Amino acid sequence: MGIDNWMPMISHTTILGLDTAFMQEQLPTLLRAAGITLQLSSLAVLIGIALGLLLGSLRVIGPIWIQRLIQVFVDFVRGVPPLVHIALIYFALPRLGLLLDEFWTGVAALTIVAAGYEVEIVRAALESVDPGQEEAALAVGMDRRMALIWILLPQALKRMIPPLTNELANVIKASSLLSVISVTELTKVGNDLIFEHFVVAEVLIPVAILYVLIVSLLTRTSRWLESRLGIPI
Amino acid sequence: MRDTSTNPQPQSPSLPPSPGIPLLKIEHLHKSYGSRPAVIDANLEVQRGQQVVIVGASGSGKSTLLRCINYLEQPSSGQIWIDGNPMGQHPVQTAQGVKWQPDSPKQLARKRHHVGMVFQGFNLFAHLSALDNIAIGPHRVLGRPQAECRARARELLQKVHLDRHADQYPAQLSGGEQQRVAIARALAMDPKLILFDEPTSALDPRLTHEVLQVMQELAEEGLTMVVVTHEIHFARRFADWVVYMEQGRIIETGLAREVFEQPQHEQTQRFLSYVM
Repeated sequence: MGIDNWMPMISHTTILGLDTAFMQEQLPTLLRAAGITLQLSSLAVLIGIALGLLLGSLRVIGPIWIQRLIQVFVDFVRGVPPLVHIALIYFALPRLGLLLDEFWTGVAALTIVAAGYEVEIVRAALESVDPGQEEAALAVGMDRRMALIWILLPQALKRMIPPLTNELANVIKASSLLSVISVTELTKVGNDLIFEHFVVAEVLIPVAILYVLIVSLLTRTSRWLESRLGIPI
Repeated sequence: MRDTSTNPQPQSPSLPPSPGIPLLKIEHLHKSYGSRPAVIDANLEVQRGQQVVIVGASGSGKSTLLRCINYLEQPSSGQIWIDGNPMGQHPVQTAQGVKWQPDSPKQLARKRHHVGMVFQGFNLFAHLSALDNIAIGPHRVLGRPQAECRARARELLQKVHLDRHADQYPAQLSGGEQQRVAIARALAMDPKLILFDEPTSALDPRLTHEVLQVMQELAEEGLTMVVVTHEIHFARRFADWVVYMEQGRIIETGLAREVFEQPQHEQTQRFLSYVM
């Protein structure tokens, strides 16, 4: 039985008062924008993780002056709102002679925010490994760098995943702030549609759903990783 | 390197004649934590093939002394020699003569692998199978091929009677099994001596027996061992040489049967009367 038969009063392009024809029409535009958000976030997440692991490890075994320097970076990143980071990088990088387009400026800003928070997660996970593990590694003749690579990081990795996932979900959502520097990501494109067509719900509902899908891509990946690293500890 | 002939050690008659340099020599070792002294002026020599047991009450400084030997604890002063090589520092020729410089972490790591260590809490690498716990040291530190290291690890597991547990992770092993894997892990580096820090304190009597059995077998093969233990009855059977410590000081050292039968010092007598 067709929908027109039992709801003859409602236009076939309207469900719950939403203009579904308009939504269908705009879906490709929003999907393209979601693609940009996905690219931005995955680049920031991947580079951020690499940077976070490196800085977090140095924060634990590096020379004391490097440890202090990293702590200053962490305090700075955590103390400054992401929106301000984005503006800072957008206006500061050209003055330093680094000319990046909006997309890569966005990636840089998100990466720095991601790395800043990840340093603390990596450090906490490394420090949660029983100190006896490092002692045993030293006792077989490893230096601290080898102990880190072969003994501490493999054990800390699994513990990092849940807090990292949380943090990276925030990074994905922070990518919406890049609309202020005109990166054509999901929020920016959504906003443009709203002001162009004077419809709100028809745009924001699919935008919200697309964010949920992108974040769940991350949480699923991390859950899979966590189960892959299933060491009986 | 140093003339040690002026300081002869009595030897158990069953031991092969010792070459000039003791395998381990501890000279005037002090270790303090802040103002609290943990080890005070410790002097000790261990000959190749000897089994030395350090006994004493908890807090007497015996574990600290042991941990100073491989520089897991940095001594406050004093000198450790492993087979004639100074641990933790090295002499440098300068215009003003020879100066001692502390070892870099890399230099220290290179010296440390000559000294194996077995911990009270086992400290097996939790993310590695029993086999890889043993193979990782030779593979990563000595750069030997992995296949060779694993083959050797299998032999060592056999030696500690655990050949069927190669693929199990530490969490799947009993305490006694874990400690025997830890012994195999120390052996894998072909160390000149192995330090045992209360190896059976975390084990029940049956598991303790398994571990002591393996240690006894290694002693019979002539492995040099320095053991901190509370197992006085085992120490009596096992040790050539006994060190008694109290309040950070070495009170008495001597041949095991002499110290256990006729302790010379009043403090040693009192301690042994409690524990034997």
